[in-house]
Amino acid sequence: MVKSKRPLAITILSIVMVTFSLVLIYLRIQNLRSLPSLNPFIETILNQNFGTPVEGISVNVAFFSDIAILSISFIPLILGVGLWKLYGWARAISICLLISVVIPRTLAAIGIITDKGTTVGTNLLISLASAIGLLILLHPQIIIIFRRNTARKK
Amino acid sequence: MESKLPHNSLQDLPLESGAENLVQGLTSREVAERVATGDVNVVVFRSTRTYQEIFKENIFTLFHISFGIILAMLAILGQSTDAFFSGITILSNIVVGVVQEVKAKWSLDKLALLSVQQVTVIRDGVALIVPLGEVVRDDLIELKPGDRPPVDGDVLVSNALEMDESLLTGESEPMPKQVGDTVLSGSFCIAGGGIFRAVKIGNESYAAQISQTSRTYKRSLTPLQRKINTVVEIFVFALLVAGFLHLIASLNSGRTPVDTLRYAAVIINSFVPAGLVLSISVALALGAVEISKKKTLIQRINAVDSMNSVRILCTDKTGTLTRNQLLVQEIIPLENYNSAQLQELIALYVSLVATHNSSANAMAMFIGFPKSSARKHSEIPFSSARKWGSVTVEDNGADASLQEIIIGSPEILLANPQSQLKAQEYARQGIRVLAVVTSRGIEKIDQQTDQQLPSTREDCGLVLLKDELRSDVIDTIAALTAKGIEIKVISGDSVDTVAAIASQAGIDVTPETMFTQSDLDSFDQGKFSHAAMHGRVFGRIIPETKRKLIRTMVKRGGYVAMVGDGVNDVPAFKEAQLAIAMNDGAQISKDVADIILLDNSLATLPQAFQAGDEIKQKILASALLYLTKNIMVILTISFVGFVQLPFPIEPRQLTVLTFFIVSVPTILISIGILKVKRINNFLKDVLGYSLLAGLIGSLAMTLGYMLAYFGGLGLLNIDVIITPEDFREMGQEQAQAVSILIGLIYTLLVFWDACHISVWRPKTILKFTFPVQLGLAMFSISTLVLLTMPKLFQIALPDRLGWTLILFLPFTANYLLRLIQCSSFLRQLPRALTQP
Repeated sequence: MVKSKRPLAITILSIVMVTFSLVLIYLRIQNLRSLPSLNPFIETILNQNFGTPVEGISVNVAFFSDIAILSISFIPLILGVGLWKLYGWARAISICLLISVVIPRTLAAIGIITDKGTTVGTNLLISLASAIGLLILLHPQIIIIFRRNTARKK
Repeated sequence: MESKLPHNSLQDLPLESGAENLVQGLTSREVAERVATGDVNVVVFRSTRTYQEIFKENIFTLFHISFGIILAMLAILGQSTDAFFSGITILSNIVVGVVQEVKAKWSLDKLALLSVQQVTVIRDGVALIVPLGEVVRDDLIELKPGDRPPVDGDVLVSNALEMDESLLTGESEPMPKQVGDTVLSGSFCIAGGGIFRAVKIGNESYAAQISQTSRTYKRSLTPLQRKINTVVEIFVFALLVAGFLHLIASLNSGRTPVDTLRYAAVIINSFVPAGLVLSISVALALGAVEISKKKTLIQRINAVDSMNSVRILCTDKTGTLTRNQLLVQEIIPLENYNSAQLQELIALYVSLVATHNSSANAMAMFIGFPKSSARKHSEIPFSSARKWGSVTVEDNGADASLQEIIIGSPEILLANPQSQLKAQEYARQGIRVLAVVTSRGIEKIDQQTDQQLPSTREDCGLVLLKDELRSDVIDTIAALTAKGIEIKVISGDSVDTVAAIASQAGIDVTPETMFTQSDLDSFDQGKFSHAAMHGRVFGRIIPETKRKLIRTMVKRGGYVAMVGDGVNDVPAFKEAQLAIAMNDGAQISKDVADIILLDNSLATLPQAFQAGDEIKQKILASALLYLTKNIMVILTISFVGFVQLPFPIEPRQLTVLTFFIVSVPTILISIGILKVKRINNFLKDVLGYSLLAGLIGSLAMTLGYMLAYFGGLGLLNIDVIITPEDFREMGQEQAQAVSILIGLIYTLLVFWDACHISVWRPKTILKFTFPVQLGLAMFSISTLVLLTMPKLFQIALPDRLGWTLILFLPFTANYLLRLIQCSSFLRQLPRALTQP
């Protein structure tokens, strides 16, 4: 069986996605470690006299936020591996992901939607990078390579 | 309309003493008096539902009542906005349902006038044909075979009158009616003839007093209706369980009564596919109107869907395959008789017999009047069960002996085997053959009580009758066969005649597929079933066997339609899942039929079946959209409940989703503006798809809700620590916005999928522009409504993360759905689950 040749653009894109994902995961884990406790409910901390200034049962909201973003961070990792292997589903879902990154980031950069956590520059940068990724995935020759690969697997 | 009295009407009827004056009937003045006092037979057309029924069935449903109570309680508790938005669903259901059904009723009632029963009444000594609604009390009404008494009354004149009261009493034996006996509306004349006086009219009549009239005796559901009803029942059962759990959860979590009620409204709205029931009734009502344009009157609304399920079509030969305009081709004398003698016997028979069927009419036209002045002594009327009829005449000669002239089936009447063979030869050419035999020197006995065939008979001759195939019948049979419908001919004629005509019509007949009454009589149950399923032509069949054949076919799993026009078809009509009558057929056959072919032509059937198929597709597409939405919302509520987060959807948000993305498209599908892709199988293509699509959609909604809920909190400072009460409230509104928008997009993609459109195949978007434009318009309106009034809909505008989820999850979920559908996983799943 002749193995299809992976285009350089796809190789770069998948490496970027995997790297980006790993960075996000690393940051979130770091963030979680910096929290006063991994326990989302602080009551136990209070009972153990850790000195945290809380009254009664309280919730560590940052914990939930980090867990949510951590779970999203795994998506580019999976898609990057799928693109590396030239899977059709990885291309399709990557297009979805990149579109859903480009549009909100651009809208956030120009101030139409709120995004308090990120700067305008970061938003523009991520939006531009995603747009380039999108152009790669929508290039006719890339489409043909993915189709050929899918057909051969069938 | 005034008509000449039939030749065998008043003057030929043997009147009881004193009855001569009575049969003059009412005078015009007496009729006018009765009309003025309202003593008229008020007719209620039962072909469609009454306005009262339409309102009742559209308003007072279990769903509307239970939902209405909750909405009323919500309004009382000050949640009038929620009550209003949820109420829109009910209101739109009721308005659309009632308007469409009333419009359909108007069209169908207009058409029903074409097939309304005409009655022959005698007024001023003249026979008049009047519509059913113009009969007045004390009118004299004539009865002949196939007639249904429109009112109850007393018999004044009986000429071997036999009534079938099986529709009223279940008694299948015909009831002889003598002078003074009562005839009831809902029964019908099976043989002989007579005159009766209208005693109980309108609502006083028997048929009006009991709910089970001949027309409404059958309330069967079509296979599709049964399946959808089962699904709805499962949903309602699940609702009861979910409602109980909701109550427990509310008590356990300390939810306020207002919230408990609000979320109960969401649960009920999600579990009961009320809009589905609406779109089905709209599709059926409009389908009935659509099919009626093809000169086909629908008398039972779900017959529209029933047509699509038909796999076996049984038909009578005469009147359906042929023109039913019999002409005598030739008369053949047998044994010692010559042509003139045979002619005289036939002429005597047809001039003395009380009522004429089509064969007797043909013979009367061919032969003319008799030469002798012999008087009728008695008569046994022709009936399909006996297969013969006779007239006993008194000779004016000195011996005053009696001669019985019998005309009927050659197989039963002819004594000489040579004559039998001769008759068979003609039958094989597709000619209807009647035998003429006589019996002399019989005693003067009352034959009406002893209707036996005389043992000594003399073969006199054969009458050859020819009937032509209808011009369109060959194309019709070919079209029906192409649709996978098997045609079977069940007739009272000789099997050879029927086989010849069936072959001419294009039905594939072999000797192995031909059966006679005597063949079937000799079979045990197993062989009978085999014959019923594999036979194509059944000859000399009596009505009871016809009924048994149909019942066997139905029991063996065939979906059977029966086309007929005669009184002998009525028992078979009762067994068939779809009864189709000809407009010119006997009144009783039209009364019990589900469908009437107004132009008496089978040619409209393939078109009507096609229209029925289109209606089924509309129903299936509506079911697909509603079930997917319902399953998606139900599972989302359940999944979010697992992680103990606040309720994921508000009643008013669900109303927007249901109304714009589900109700509007399904109504447009129901009225035929939107075309959907073909759906073949309810279980696999609708229920299976809805379960899978609903599950994947709910995962997208739940993920979106959870991630937006938790992710939104990341905007806060990392050190913020709050109380659980604040925590429950703070992320809910944004999460609900994300989850409802994911639901909107995902349902839109499902709708497009049903219209051949896939966002993953851009060509389809360009090809089917109308559903694309409609979907985009509905989505834009619903999104604008939600986002421009966030306070009203209790949502917070999504942030960047929210929008990322809104764009990413529904499209990815749709792609995964396609991926699973195309993979071998689903095909292997049933096998994997059933293996030990």
